[in-house]
Amino acid sequence: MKIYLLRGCNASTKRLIRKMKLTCFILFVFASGLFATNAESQVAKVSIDLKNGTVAEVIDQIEKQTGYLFVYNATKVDLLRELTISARRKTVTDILSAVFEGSDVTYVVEGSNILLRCRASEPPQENRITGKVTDKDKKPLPGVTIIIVGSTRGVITAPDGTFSIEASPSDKLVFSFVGMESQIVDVGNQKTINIIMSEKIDELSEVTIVAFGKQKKESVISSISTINAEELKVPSSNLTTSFAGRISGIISYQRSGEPGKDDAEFFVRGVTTFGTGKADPLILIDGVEMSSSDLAHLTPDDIGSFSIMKDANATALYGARGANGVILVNTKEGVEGKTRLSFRAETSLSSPTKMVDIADPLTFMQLRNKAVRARNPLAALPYTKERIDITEKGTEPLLYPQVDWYGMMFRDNTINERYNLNISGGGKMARYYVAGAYSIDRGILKNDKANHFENNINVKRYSLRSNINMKFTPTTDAVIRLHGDMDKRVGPQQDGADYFNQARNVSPVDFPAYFPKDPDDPRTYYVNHILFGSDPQMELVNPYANMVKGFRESSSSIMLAQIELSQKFDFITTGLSARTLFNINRQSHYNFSRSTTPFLYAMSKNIVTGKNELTNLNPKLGKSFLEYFPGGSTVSSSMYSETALMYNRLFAEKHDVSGIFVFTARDTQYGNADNLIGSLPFRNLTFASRLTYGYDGRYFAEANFGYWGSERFEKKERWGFFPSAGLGWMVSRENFMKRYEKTITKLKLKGTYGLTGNDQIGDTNDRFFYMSRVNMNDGNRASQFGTDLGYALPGISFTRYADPNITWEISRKLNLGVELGIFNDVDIQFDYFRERRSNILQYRSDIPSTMGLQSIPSSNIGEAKSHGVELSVDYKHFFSEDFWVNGRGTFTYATNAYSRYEEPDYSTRNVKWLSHLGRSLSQPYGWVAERLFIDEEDVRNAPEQTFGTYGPGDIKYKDINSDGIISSLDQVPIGLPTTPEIIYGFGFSIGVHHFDFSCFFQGSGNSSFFIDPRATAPFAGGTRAILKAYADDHWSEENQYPYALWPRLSPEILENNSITSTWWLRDGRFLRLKSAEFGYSLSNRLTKSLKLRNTRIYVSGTNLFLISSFKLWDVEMAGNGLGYPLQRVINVGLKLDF
Amino acid sequence: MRMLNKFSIIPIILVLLCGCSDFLDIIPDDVATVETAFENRQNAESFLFTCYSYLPDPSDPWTYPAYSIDEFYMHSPEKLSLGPAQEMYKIIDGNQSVSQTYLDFWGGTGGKAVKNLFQGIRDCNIFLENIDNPKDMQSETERKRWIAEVKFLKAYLHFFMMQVYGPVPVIKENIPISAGIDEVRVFREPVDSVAAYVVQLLDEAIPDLPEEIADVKNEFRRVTKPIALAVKAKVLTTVASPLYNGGVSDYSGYTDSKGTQLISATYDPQKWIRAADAIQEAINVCENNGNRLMDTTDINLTNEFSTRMKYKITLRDMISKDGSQGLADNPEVIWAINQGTNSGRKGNYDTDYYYGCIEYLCYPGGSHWAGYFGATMNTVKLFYTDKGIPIKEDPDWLGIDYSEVVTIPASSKDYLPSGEATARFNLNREPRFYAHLGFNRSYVTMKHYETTPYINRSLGNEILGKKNFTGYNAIKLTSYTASGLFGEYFNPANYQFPLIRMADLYLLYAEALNEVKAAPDGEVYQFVDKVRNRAGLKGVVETWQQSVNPNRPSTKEGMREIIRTERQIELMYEGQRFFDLRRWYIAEAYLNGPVTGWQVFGTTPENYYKETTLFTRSYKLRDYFWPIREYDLLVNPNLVQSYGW
Repeated sequence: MKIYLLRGCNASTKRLIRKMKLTCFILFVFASGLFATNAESQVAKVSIDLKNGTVAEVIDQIEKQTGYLFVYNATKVDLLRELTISARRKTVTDILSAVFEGSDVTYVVEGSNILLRCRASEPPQENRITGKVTDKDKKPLPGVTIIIVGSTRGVITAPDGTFSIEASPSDKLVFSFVGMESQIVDVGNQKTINIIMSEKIDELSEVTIVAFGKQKKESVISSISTINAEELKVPSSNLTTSFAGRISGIISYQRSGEPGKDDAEFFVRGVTTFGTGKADPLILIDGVEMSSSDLAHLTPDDIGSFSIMKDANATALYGARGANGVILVNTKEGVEGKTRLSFRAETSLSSPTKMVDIADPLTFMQLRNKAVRARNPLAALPYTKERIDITEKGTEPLLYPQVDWYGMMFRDNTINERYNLNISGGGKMARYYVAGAYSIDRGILKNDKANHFENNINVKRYSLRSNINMKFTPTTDAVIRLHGDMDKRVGPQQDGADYFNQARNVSPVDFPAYFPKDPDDPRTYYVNHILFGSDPQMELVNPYANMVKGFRESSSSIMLAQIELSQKFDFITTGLSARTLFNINRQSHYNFSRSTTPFLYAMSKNIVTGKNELTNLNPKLGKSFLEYFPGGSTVSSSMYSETALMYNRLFAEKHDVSGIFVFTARDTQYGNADNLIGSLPFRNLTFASRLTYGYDGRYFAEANFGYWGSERFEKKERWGFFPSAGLGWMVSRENFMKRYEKTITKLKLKGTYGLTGNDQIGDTNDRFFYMSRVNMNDGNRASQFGTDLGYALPGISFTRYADPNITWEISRKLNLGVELGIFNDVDIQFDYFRERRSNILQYRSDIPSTMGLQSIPSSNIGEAKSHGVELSVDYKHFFSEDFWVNGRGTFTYATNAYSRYEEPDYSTRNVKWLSHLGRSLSQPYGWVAERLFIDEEDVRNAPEQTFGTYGPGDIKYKDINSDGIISSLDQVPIGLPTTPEIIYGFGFSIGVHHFDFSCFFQGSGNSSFFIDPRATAPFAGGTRAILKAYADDHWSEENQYPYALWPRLSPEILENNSITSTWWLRDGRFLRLKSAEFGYSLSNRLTKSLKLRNTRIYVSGTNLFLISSFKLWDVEMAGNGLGYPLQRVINVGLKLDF
Repeated sequence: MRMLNKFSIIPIILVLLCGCSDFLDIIPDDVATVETAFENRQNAESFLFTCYSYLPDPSDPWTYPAYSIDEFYMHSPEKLSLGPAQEMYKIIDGNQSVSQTYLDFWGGTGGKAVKNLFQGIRDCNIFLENIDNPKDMQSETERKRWIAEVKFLKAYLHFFMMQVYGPVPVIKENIPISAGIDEVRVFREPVDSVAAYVVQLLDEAIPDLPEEIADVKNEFRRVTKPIALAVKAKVLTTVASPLYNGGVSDYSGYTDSKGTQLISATYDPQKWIRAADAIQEAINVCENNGNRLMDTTDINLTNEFSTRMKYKITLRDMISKDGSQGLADNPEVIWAINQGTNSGRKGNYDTDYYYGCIEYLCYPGGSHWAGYFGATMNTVKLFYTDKGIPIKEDPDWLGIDYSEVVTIPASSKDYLPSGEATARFNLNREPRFYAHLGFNRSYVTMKHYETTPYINRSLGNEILGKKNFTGYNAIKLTSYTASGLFGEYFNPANYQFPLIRMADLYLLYAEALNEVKAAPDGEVYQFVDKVRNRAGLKGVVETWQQSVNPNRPSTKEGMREIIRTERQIELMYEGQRFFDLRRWYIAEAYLNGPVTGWQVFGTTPENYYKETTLFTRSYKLRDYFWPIREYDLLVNPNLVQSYGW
């Protein structure tokens, strides 16, 4: 094994040693390994026969014949000194003694390294050096070994961390401690040396996680973003909500705040495919494909590394799955050292960022009257003036109530809790990381005290993770991972969003949520159920009754077991190793509900007695006891195995060669699929390989390929080959850059190009396109004949027509990137990317309906392209031990377009603008709204509109093709894409003494959305409430403003006003204070007295404020604004490290 | 070193284990394909039933196009989802357009229930292409019969499309999926060519169809020779009718891109002769087969009932008496369709008519909305007076205020409970009025109330909950034997919905003869009178003597109008009038203007019996044929839009 060595350079020994360490890490040689081989070094035998050779040649020979590496300062050691030596099977020490005898060079064997140094020309002056060793939290470290390099002299620190040693100015001291990064310090003229030792740095800072392995950071030329898990810690039990703006290259947005349903959607570099196939990234947790909800449930504390692979080079090995990018998360592993326990508790107060304002009940009545008359002047008014008056006075609060359904049903806020505990540690033979997490997320629904069960949403999540690393032999490592995750939701029968809709859809004036029991009426007084209100016809849903009548329980769980074995094969050839991974997991889900059937009551005034009387409307149907309703359940199991052969070696000090060859197999099966096709397993086989070459740390080349097999395609299309290649140039290492060394610490240019594929085309259940799908048992095509229709046969239908040519979706990606480091403080990464996606499965649109096909055939005809840039800037500076600042900013721009799309020939009807070609994949199409019609005259003079009835006050559209009729041909692309094209974020953290503060802003740009005129239409279904904004601003006889927010009121949804048009188009841009955190770490003395390593308390918040031009609801929810609102969270947390 | 070997073997074993070459070959044999469908007789029979399943279902008030006129009104501010939200009501409200085609039988783009009927035609063709494959057919006769049935269905689907869209492409054979663009871009064929092809298919089918169903237990309601002949009669009558036979001069310029005239703008008298011949043949075969008008002698009641009551029951039974034991049960019906299984309908809609047309019987809190199909005043007005002539021709009715509230006299006791208040409009009407309609203060004519009459009281708030919005229910469509008590769940009695019955053929024949002959004669009167007599009315000539136009039956034009009115009344609410008004080219006269009902929320008779406008309909020339989607024209530039759109 050779080590990259800067021979002939002026580099200091310190630097060399650092380099060595780095390399050691790459080779997974742990500190323990060094010591383990030490004992054998004495017996390593070497044969050298040199005449008039040089010292350098001897060193070469020893390095070649043994595993030893020489470390020395080339300016000090005379390498060209000639000598003659003849040794046969002598120990290394014997040879070295002979070589350097008489010279001023001494040697020290340290592990597998041999240090050469010059004996001081002057006799050393010994000084007494004193000092103190602490950890980074300033806690004294007792038992630290301090040795003078090249000698056997050393001391150990006292319990208070202090030490005292005699050393000369030219000496170097090595500070070492189990689990800590060793440090070497030049003594110089120092009298006092205080050392802060830090824990062994996570591998991440020096290597980058790449597909199926790790690679030296400097040599990586793929586009891979890594993010510190600390950055993803937000006060939420859903990890996906933290992505937007924090990770460059990810386009992400969150549309709902409902516990358990609040996953943000995220795409790597946007979406470059259309149709029903997979568009979101592949997610790998510890190397195994998982779902986005598994990712959402990961605890940030457990994350060791988090990387996003974006270009073809990074994802080529994931061939079949990599086209949409890859998110790779590795969980933490135990670190050698004392047992450490870390505990985190968080309690947060969650409240909607914005509730939709609804007009008050009186306005509702008046406007509903107005709406009915606006459309039919003859119609009877729903509310008489007398009734409105009584309602307003409130003299009959039960007969004519004013109900604030939102207030009845929803709370202003709720409390959520999260707890994490992890224990890690271990020795040379085994290390462990065991973590448990528990969280409770609650909804903002109210409970009714009369109920015996809770009906607020309550999602409890438990997770247990155990990663055990073992060393079977010095060259054999194993990792055993066990992970279980279970969540349990208890809540009302429907989703939270449904109740928001129901509360808005019900009349606020027709009946109260429930009636009080009437002591004068024994029929109501002695019942033990709640007297829910209803209209006499029971046409309207009483949302309150619906919410409290029962509950639904659901539970999902995942159990996972994984073993990884790695073996070094240096005995075959140096640098060869192999690794294998085997994973099984099982996921399951079930739900069921229990419910009563509410007794509904209506109140009417008895004309004779003048009293209000309650009538039970459903005495026979109502049930006060719980009934059970079974729900669905799903269960699936997966198996994954991965075997890799790896090779990694440095030749002639400059030629760094590595290679990996991987074989994987994957098999998933669903236990209760809906149909035969779904019951067949989902399988993939892969052969993939990567070859890298680095020259002198300056030039890098890499080639990858993935050869993937998928069960989905016809035999000849079953295998896909996805190659990629890339080049990198570390400009900053060139001689001509030397003079800027201090300023530009890193400058790397890189470029990659390659192919990746996607086999998940079409709907999940729509695999095997080469086969027709015939439903031989289609109940919808059944017929019955005979007496009492006694002879029935199911019919036969064609769900799909066979097409043997359907194949992989292929993505061609180009990535050009620059990495720039300035002053060691600023790290900038910039990437430009371009992608062409071809073979996108698309429905054939040139097949007329007269063909009578039952399913439209699809074919690999679509093509799309995308391009964009991403930028991340990191800044980190320590002004002093007690004052540090770091900042981070990211910017992602990704835009896409159809480049080939089968569509009708729009030019035949002169409507070329309807073509999708060149337009964004999420470009909305719609009509151009001019204004609202002014009067009948205006309506008569305008072109005919073909979307149902319309009149004055309704939306007037533009006749784009000037044919005198507004029809589907008058649509045009309107607005910006509905998926944001720009996502950015920026923030900073600052630490002063024990205090730290951080905040993060996140923004989204270049997107449009539509207010859903159907979902917001007042009075739809008869009694839907009217939004305050609409009540305040609509067209009416009195206020004939042609640009009012809402057109003329109507008691029902008007098609004319509901079609997609510029009238409802809104700007989706926003910038929000996504999170802020203020923390305080307890002073040393206090923590020490509590026997803690570290204690930190903090206050944090998310979604604190929002800047947007849209005010009706949280703009991030876009068209979905009437659902369960996004949440603003204020959080208090405590973290204890023992 | 020994340890190394031990562990290094593991990856090698794993590679060997997983490297099996058939790991990806997971498709089991015997996955169904097109060939499977014709592997044996059993599967082929399923395919035969599949072809049947495309028949548009006249019992589905939401998807059968015939209800998109003024017969029913269903509009409640509290339950819009049942009314205006349905595609049917979008058409009624005049919202059919090239941008949004409702009940889109052409493209199948609309609601869940409406299928692209070209799919049905394609399945018929697949059947005809492959039916030679099964080797285990019971006999060649059976194979021939199945072929004939599918040819009939293929013909009927073409005919149905022609009625909805006018000129339509004729799909004689399936175009392969791999066909080029030019091949798949078909043209609309002139209606006469479509009809000719339909008749040709029927003629091919008729010889191989059975006269009657022998195996009633398993095959009743499958297609027979009488059915095919009756359909042929309808096809030929349709194309002889004014809309298709030179009645619309505007169609003279209606050509496709090749210049082909799509709908004839010139009158051809021969068409009526062919139609009359076809109807006559159909009647002869049906009558020989045992079909006849159902009459009061068919009613076998345990109680002593008045003749009027017997009429009431007869006139209900002719529609809904379960004929599943065979013709003897219900000789009236020639062709009925299995309710609830066609058009892919499942679930709630099955029993819409049972619920929708019943009079206030259902439990108010039930899952269904009882009585929500309001029969409009427009249709109720068409029913004759007790003399058997239209209201506007009855001298006793001229100038009277039929909204006037009167007490029901004892003389009407067979139809209405005496002593109760009602509008004059509901008194002294023909038997079909009382048999086919339910309304406030009418008797609920159900078997359950045979011995103890039950009065429908639905004034204002008398009924808690659901009510219709016109004041009338088409109880015609609810089986007499269905049981339902007020305040209880309702048990429907299933029946198969008649598509063609004898009265239909007789009236069709009278219509054709009237057109063929220079002037109406006894033969013409005879076929109208058959239907009138069964409904307890006297013959046309005799009756009209009492009218203000006593000579009307003697002229061709007068008789034409009489036959058309008779046909409308007799077949009201049965899904026929829509097609009739169209082919007669008189829909604009009937379907423009206000649609009315009583003021059903009125709490006193005086408030209740006020005619109110529910909505105003407009019907234009273009509405005679529905549009096809603009997008379909983009995909196939060879298609021309329906006339006027």
